[in-house]
Amino acid sequence: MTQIEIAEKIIPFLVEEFEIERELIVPEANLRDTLQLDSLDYVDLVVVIESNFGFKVKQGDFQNLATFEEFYTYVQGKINNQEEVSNN
Amino acid sequence: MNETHLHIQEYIPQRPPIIMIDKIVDISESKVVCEFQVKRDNLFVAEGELLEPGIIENIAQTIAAGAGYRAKVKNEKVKLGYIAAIKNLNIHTLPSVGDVLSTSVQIVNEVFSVTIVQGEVICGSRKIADCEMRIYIEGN
Repeated sequence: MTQIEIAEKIIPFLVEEFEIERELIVPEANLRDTLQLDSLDYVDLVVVIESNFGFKVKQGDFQNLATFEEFYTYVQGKINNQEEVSNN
Repeated sequence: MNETHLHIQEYIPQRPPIIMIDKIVDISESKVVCEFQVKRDNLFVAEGELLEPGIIENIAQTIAAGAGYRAKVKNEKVKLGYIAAIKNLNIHTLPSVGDVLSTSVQIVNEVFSVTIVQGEVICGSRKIADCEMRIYIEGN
């Protein structure tokens, strides 16, 4: 799955869940500031990720993620790991 | 577990007059059902009806009872839980004094220290309320 495909899949959910304008979600934008995430919003974000991509998010996974681009990279890495495990 | 009368105070941290469930009637790893009869002297009753905060507390205590019961049977310490958020709350009607509520909660997800449950309150054939509740579990 490419980062563009990941973005296309998840952005509609982010727009609906966090009630923000689609145009604000660009790769270089800050994830936390754009989505105005508080600690409970992270729970919503995890639910959106897990239900859309089927992997379990671990506590601390988001600590080093600043931008949407880094977020897509993280999701892509998790999906690739999942595929490798299922292929072995 | 079928209809079983349990001493409810063994499983929940609340004490009178804030107890809003009478008994656990069914329980599994991810679901619990409690019953509660609305009494006239209930703290949340006004003009013969159980008010919204009482219904929400009833759902929350059903969650607590499930967690408490599961911990007890495993001989574990019961962890305290706090309502972190309530989403999509619908209260369709207020139950009256004498009504028996059947409240079921189903764990739908666990994210870090937060347990997400779907709760539903039924009275006879009427749906009283439903919501998604997020409970922060201390020490998870």
